[in-house]
This record gives sequence, structure tokens and C-alpha cells, in this order.
Amino acid sequence: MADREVTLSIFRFDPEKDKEGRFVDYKVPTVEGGMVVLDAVRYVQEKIDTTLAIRWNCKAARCGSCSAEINNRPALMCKTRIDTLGDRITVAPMRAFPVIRDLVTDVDENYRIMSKIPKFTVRKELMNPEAEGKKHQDVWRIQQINVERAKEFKKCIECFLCQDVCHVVREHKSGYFGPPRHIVKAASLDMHPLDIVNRAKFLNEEGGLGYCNITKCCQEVCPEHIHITDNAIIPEKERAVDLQYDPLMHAIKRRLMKKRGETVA
Amino acid sequence: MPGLFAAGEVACGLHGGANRLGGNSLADILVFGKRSGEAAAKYASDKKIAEIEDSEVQEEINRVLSYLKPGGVNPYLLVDELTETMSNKVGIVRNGPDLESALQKILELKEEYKKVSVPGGRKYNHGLFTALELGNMLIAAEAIVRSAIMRTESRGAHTRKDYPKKDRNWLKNIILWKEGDTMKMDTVPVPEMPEELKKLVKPEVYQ
Repeated sequence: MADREVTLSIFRFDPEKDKEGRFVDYKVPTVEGGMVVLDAVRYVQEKIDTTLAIRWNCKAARCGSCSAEINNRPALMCKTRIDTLGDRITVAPMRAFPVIRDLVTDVDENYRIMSKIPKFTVRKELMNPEAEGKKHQDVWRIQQINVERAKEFKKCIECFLCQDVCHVVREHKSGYFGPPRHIVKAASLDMHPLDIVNRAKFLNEEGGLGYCNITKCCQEVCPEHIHITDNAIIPEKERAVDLQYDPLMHAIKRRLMKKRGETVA
Repeated sequence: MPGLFAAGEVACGLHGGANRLGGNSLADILVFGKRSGEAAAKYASDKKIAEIEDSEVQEEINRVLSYLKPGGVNPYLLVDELTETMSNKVGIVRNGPDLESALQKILELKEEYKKVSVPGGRKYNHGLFTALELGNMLIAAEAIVRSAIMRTESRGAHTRKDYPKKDRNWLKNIILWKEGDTMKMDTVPVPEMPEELKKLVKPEVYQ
């Protein structure tokens, strides 16, 4: 049942052939109900132009592959319903990353940055608790509240929409890690009660944590509704201030960390 | 085939038989995945990697690239037709005439597949993937339909309206192989259930 027709304006660009990209209009019949932008884009790919390049996998907002800018707003194509949009829909690739072709972008940089984040590290005793006469499950047990804190960050599907929307990543090219994904990752490790590395100084000095001026755009576009700014970036900023700028907290924090055997990355 | 190790449903559904539930195959993967993994590691430890002829590689590259030319049949349309045929005629409850007409349709699509080609280049060309996949889809669909026609009984997930009963004579597996351009098929008997297992289940399970 084709109820109405929408015009899909899709960004077409092949860096090997074209000097610059252009928007091409396609007419797509829509179906009442759950039709999403990805369905419409796939209609174009299947019925109108098979050379259209898109990246998608699960169509269930789980794989984080189909990130794009729909009506200039970063969103997952598979999670944006056609009936929430007007008769004219623009679909563009994520503009913070280099385009491979059409709607497909090269997000490799994100993985390079991610590999720089200091790994999950625990005290040596935890790796071999039997040597101290302790049971493995006893030393590794953590409280539910800590589990839940990390659980929110682990929901990340690495769609990189937060990186895309971030004006610091887009405008400054400052070496800022980009908030979202990478600070979320670092925060999830920092907030783990068994982890003994403090990543705040590292994030501040190498990741450009201070560039974030808390506009909360990343939080707004996150398809998993992770409170990126509130729960990851702001706590990390506070940690950085405690560790590096506040003389009183500096003294307390350092002493506490020494007691706990924590190190600064 | 020497050097090929398999686990789970592709290894012929060892304990699930014709009843293929997700939970069953998960148990299958865990047990037989471990066994085949260990066996494969042992097998590989004293074998050298097989040599591949450059000409064979080039042949495969040529085959893949042969789909890249404008003006052919759109593979997506054939996928749609195949999907529709399989959904409507080879669904949960099957019957002879529908299966026969599905087979006819698949053979027609196979002919049509020879005309498939897609425009564009090698980079992120989903049309090219679909053209390549479609060939495999057609083989799988043909195998399914031929086996379903051959098995004149209802067993497990295979239900035929014209043969609604389980048949003792059909305690066998269907095997298919390629001979030239055609698909050959035969049956092999399945081993009788051991006595100690027979004690544990109802007689209708192994009859």
C-alpha cells in the first residue's frame, strides 16, 4: 500500500571520480506504519540505482552501521521513521568523517583513538587471588550500583553519531578525542571499582577534554540514550580538575589514590 | 572432504534431527564446536597451507568482475521473486503441487540469473554482492525444494499436507551433490537409535 510519496534527497559522491558531492532526488512510495529511512534508501538502491553505496547490517539499532545525517540531524537510518518526517527528506553521510562513497564514511580514526585509551588494569593480586588464600569470586565481586553505572556506558553501539555531532571534532581538529564515544569508554573504565588507573589527566592533556563546553548535543543524538555529557564527560572533567588544578583536592586525591594503589595514566 | 570441519546445523543437525530449534543448535554449537575446534587445531598443526594456483585466483576474480556491466537484469528483482516464491510455496505447511511449481519458478530464475549484471565499480557496490549472493540463494532454494518434494512424509519442521503422517521408511537423510550443471540426489539411512537411548524416549520418537 503506497500511501504517499516522499522525495528522498540523497548525497552522492565518489571521491575517485567526482570533485564534489551533490544531492540527487529520488521519489519513493511509502507504507503506512513502521517504515524507516533505511527502508526508503534501500528502495532507491534496489529499484532505482543499484550503485548507491550504503552501510547497514541489522536494521534493529544494534550494529551502529547505518549512521547518517537525516534532515541535517545525525541519526540511525534504521531508527528514524518516515512518518515523523516531512515529504522531503535529505540523507547525507556523517560530515565529521571522510566519505568513502555516497553515504559510507571512513570511521577508522575512531578505532585508532580508542586503542590509545589505557586498558582496564587491576591490582596484581586480583590476577592470582589464590596465592593470598582468597577466592577468585570474592575479590572480583563488585556492588550492583557499580555494575549499573558501567552498564549504561556499555550500551554504546559505536555508531559514532556523538562524534559526528560534536562541534569540537568538526571545527577545531584539536586532537580532541571527541567526547562521546571515547570519553564514555574511558569513563566506563575509570568508574570500575577494581580498575586502578586514573585516566582524567590523560584525557585532559591528550584527549582535549577541556574543549568540551557541555552543549550536550552528543547526549541528544545518542540512539542508546546514554547520558554522555552528564554521566561521563562531566565526571571526567571533575576528576581532571581534582587531580590537576584544585590544590586541596589534589592533595587529598593523591593521598587517596596512593592508599588504593591507583596510578595516573 | 579432508580439512573441512563443521559444527552445529551445517554439520547435519546431529541431535536435533528435523526439529530445528534455536536453543537446540546453541547446545550443538557448544559441544561440537569444541570438538571440531580441537580436532581442526590438531589437524592443522602438522599440515602446510595448501598452495593456490594464480590462475585459479584470476579465474575467480574474472567471475566476480563479470557481473560488473551495465544493462543486465537487476539482481534485486530476482531476489524479490525468489523470496516471494519461497515464502508462499515453500513455507511451514507444504504440498506437492506448490513445491513443483516453486521448483519450476526457481529453474526459470536460474536461467534469468545468467543475464544478471550490475553497473558501478568494485567499491561498496551492494548490487554486486547481491548478484553474487543470488547464485548461492538459488542453489540453496533448489536444494530445499527438491528435498521437500522427495520427502513424502511429515517430520519435524517439514510438514506436508498431502503426507501428514510420519513414515518409518523415511528414517534417512537426503544428500545432494553437483554433477555438471544439474543437482543429483540420493538418500542415506540414519543409524538406528542405541538401545539405552530408546529406553529414555517414547517409541514414536524413533519410529
